[in-house]
Amino acid sequence: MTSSTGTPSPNEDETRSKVYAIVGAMAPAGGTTLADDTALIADLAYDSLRLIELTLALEQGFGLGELPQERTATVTTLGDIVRLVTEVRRETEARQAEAGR
Amino acid sequence: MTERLRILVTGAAGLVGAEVTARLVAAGHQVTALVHNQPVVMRNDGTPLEPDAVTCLPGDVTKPRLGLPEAAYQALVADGLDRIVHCAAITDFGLPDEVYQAVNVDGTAHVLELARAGGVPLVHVGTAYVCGERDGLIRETELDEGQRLANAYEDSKFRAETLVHKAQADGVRAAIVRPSIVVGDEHTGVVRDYKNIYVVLKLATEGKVRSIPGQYEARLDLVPVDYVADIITEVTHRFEEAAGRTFHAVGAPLTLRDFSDVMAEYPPFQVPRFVPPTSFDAQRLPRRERAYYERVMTLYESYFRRRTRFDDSHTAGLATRRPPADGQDFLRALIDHCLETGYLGAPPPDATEVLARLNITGPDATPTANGTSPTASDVNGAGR
Repeated sequence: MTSSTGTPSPNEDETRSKVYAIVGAMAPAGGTTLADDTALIADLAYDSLRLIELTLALEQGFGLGELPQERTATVTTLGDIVRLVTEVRRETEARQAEAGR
Repeated sequence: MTERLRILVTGAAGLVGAEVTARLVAAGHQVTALVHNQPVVMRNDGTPLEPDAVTCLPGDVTKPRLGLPEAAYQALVADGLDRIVHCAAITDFGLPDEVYQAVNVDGTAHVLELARAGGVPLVHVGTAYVCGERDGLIRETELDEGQRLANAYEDSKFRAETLVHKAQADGVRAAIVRPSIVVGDEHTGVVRDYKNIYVVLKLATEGKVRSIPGQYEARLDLVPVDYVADIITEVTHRFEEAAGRTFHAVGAPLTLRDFSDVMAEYPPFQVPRFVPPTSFDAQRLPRRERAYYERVMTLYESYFRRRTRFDDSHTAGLATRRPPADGQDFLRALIDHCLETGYLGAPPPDATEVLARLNITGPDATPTANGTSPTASDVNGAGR
């Protein structure tokens, strides 16, 4: 998928490193090397309340707008978050491109 | 000295089930503990039962024959069990409907089949909240009063208890114990895991939700886990007296006013304001508070409007132990324990603080534009 407006397409590597930084800093338990298959609950000791705060941090940190519960409900690993954030950024960009046409 | 009984406990690894198992083992009974995920029965205080004190049987109440191999199941039927104590249940809120159906309803049906096949007396652990949204005095003799049930949990426990009643009519001998909201130990406040009301307390005292639709006169009934386990154990022992009857294992009712007053005694705590449901509008909450409200508080909201009171005459007539006399003192014990373990108290850094520390600012995410500032406008009368 390419952007028609000249703004660079959100880079997945850049998204990944920022997601890792936020998830790592918010995590109740540290000391784990982060990877795409790191589990938020089992490996990083997130509980339901801390996951809500993480959702807020991702919304705020990436300027995403509200992440609906249906889309966050299936997230269990760091890789899931990278995919979700990448998807939402692409959708936002596509919408902006649509609006700017 | 009571006779040595052969007892099957389902949900034996759960909060209530483990405490019941520990008591039955201590009384000298031969206990088979049906466990699902965890092969160890851990008491509420975190100490495991001696592995040779109890026979752990991995099973699954959602499956026919409790998920046991045919031979193991037939052995249970043929072995002449003296009691089944059915503690297995999902008590978390907000899970998909089919989970409650599978564990709470189908699970009870499967346990009833075993009770029927083996002619085994059953102690069924229900919930006082099968009363749903009925107000006023709830009696142990009442079940279906045409009440509205507030959520899939209540609905499933209502249907499970209805199945027990039907089985009783068909000759299965059963007694029902209905705990209210099960929380920590009466005196130490100790609790193994923090669920339901604890999550509400955490959000409220950390100021993550500052206004809650509800009424100060509404009542919540918190009951100590050790008291609940004592009542279930007593009903199991004295089944001949208990058979065919229902026992409320309830504590001291606390009004939301009582909650507010106790929370206000703790200097680090924020105290939420309860606002009339008719004048509450979630859309007016700042994003942050709305996220917590929508994802958590909505699950419990119905309980902040009910003025329920549970009659426990049957329990008072059977058991020697009585529930906590002073609900506020009991609540203090629970909160003190949460402060000792760090569950309540200073919250970890929030999203805004963490992002600032990481030097991350979103492309268009200024804190006030998203309404994330903790001092955001006075909404729904939450300001002081």
